[in-house]
Amino acid sequence: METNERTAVDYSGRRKRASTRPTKLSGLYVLKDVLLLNLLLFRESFAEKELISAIQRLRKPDPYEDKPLDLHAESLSISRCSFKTHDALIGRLQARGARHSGAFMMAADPVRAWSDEQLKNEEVPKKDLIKFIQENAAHSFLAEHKLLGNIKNVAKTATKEQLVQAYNQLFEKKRFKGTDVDVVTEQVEAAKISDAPKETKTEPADEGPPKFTKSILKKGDKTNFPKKGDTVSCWYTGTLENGTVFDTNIPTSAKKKKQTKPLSFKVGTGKVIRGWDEGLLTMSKGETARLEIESEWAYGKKGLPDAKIPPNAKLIFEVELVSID
Amino acid sequence: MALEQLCDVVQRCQAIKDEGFSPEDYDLFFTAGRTCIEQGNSAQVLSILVDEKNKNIVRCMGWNLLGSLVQILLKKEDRNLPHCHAILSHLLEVGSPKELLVGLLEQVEEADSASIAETVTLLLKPLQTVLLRLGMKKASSVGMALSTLLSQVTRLPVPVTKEQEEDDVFGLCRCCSALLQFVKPFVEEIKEVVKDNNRISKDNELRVELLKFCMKSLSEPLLEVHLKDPDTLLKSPLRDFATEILIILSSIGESLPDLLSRSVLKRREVPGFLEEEVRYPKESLACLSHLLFVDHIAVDIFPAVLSPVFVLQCNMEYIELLLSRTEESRLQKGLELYEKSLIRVEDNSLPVDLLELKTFFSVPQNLVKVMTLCPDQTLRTKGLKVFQLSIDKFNTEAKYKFFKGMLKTSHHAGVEGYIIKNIKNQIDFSLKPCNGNDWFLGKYLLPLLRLVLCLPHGPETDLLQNLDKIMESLNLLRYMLIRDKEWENETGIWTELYKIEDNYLKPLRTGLNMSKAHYEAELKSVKENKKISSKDSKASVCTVTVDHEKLPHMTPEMQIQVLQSAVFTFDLIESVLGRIEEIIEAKERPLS
Repeated sequence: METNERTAVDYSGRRKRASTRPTKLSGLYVLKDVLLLNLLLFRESFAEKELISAIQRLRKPDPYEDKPLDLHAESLSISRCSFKTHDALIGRLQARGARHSGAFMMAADPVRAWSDEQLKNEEVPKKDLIKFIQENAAHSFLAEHKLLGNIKNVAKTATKEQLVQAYNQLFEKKRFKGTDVDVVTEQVEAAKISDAPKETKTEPADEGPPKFTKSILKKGDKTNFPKKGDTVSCWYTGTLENGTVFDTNIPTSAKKKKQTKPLSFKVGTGKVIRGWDEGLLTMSKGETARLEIESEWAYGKKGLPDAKIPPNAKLIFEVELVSID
Repeated sequence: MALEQLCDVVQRCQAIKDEGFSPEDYDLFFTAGRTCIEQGNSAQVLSILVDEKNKNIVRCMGWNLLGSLVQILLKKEDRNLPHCHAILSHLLEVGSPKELLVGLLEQVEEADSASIAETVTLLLKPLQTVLLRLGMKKASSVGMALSTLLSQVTRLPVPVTKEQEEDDVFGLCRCCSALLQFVKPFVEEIKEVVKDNNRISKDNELRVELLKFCMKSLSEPLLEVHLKDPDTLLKSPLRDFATEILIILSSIGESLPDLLSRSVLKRREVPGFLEEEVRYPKESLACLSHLLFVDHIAVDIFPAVLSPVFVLQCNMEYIELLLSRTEESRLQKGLELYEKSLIRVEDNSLPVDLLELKTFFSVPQNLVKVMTLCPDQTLRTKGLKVFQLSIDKFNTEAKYKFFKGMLKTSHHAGVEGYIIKNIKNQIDFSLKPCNGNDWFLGKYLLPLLRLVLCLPHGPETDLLQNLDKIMESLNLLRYMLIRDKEWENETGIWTELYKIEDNYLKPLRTGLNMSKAHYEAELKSVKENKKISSKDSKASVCTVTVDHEKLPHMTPEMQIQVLQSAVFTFDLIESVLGRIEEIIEAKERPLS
């Protein structure tokens, strides 16, 4: 175990004995958090643990999650005393924070993990580079530079130059995570705001499955089907689920049947309950069918007290399609 | 004397061939016969008339005796009653049907108002007998008879309370029931035609006459009548009458749903189109609709599958007709029909394109007239209730369009105030999570608000006249400023605020100050005048006459009261305005 003497800086800013090894923190970009700036700009190297606890103290609990981000649970492979891992750690913590909290995102943009020389010297393996970019860049940026997906696969398709170029562009254009709309929506979803308005039920739109079922009792000619706007005539009997007949136009005696006419109306034009409009369009001339219509396509919450139809009643009709004009 | 004269003329006429009777013969027969009957010699007259030899004479001249016969029969206490009845029956059997018809109808027409019911109930059976004798050519005669009978029956007063209907002092209920019996055989005849041919021509004359009768009955007396439901009055002849009329319509081949939707569905231009309109008068159809949907008459022969929105659309035409009348009974029926049609529809479901239909705008206008001008308070209150109900049924976009239209056309401060209250409720609803929409929150809200937050005449607007509107709009503004936080600004009110201040709040403040100063000055001068000259009241500049009665001058005390309440009203407006100004000021202070 190395015996670096590391000391943490406490927040009053008083420096304690500096460590033996200077670290380089070049290319430090936007850091709005003054304390973190204090911590890092003094070019001290800190123990990861102190760093983690310092950052933890800085971070406020995630408003969208019940528990604060548990940094110790991070499975980051950190080797002590190496510059790049400190920066990488900060970078990763910041990126992780960005995913979970817009507030922390505001605090700092990601920091470059490597300098240009390091990148030129082939010090940085492709996979690390890809990983960094994937963790810090906006989804659209990754898509544009073809850096989405499994790191191994990306490594196969992308050259080192392309990766370095993408890395530099990321910082120049600041296309970090959270600058994309998709991240915003992620946050919105995290905040559990549903933006679906409730006003869509006015449209008798073709949404959802049909709210009726049909069983054929007697087959029709199967060739003549009514179209919207055709005048259809039918005999029918309507019953509730409990069997009560609430409406029928079929007279009791056959003699009377000659004197009464079947019900005629223009189908598909909203003159009758929706279950009928939709159901009759599926019937052919001469067919007798049993239509079971859910209340949404019948009389809904109101029902029809005048005709003894209770609220939310499912209606059952036996309909004979006599003619189509 | 008269009897001998009668015998003479009859004997003389027996000899005449081919019924070539002279006018003098007719006259003699008429005068002699009438006198005999009036004098009580009906038995003898009967024996003359039933004599086979006199058959032709009776056929040609018998109807002349109808007048006197009917008078005797109406009196009812005469001991000659059975004979007269017998004479009548014989005449009906033997006399020329056409002449008899004319004679009978004359009697019906000439009945004086006290004896209409008696005459009608007496003569219905005879008329029926005669008409049935006419055979295939009866249609026009049936029509004539029905129209004459109905005109007389509708002169009878309509019972209003349940007791009046039970007592039926004037006989309307009796006549209606009797009329139903009268038309029965004719309806049966039509039903037979339908049965035999499986259909009936729309122009079948008898059918047309029956249709006219039904339509006429629907308009009078049924539109006037307020039917009692079975719980209130178990046996109601008027309810039975209404039910039967609808059943007759159905039996003669008129589909009730088709009748209802006549106004809405576009018809092809058929020859005789105008006659179609005349055949189905709108007022009768309005009554039909009311019977079906409010009184639930004949609801078992009416299909239950019609879509509620379609029913509403059809009924709007009739509601418009009823609400455009001034009689309270029509207004009552119109409001009831509107209410019942609206209740069937789901809340927030009526789409905006319904507002394109003429009736969906004219009916609210009529409703506003009822709410503001009708002398009857119950109708005004009910009108307001139905108004709110109609607003609740529109969907959000339709509500928006409706409010905009009403604000532009209404010109009545109370109505505008009520609409503004509804706008506030809609904004409140829209601000709740998941209810956001473009109409009461988004870009469309601000144009609507400009209609709300405006003074029609700038600072010189009469604030007292427009009090309702001003108070409601100030309340709305105050609500929005408090509810919609500045940093959220969901309604956009904060960005619009400077314009509102310039166009509304500042002129309002100016107007308020002006009005207050003016009224306070007036108040002061009246008080001073009162102190100075308590005895001699100055002659007022103008007098007010209501219904040809001059109203007494306002005493100084009354004047002071009125002016004082005006000043209080301005204080009221000022308090809300002040509060709004406070809120604005507080928000505009920079955050420390």
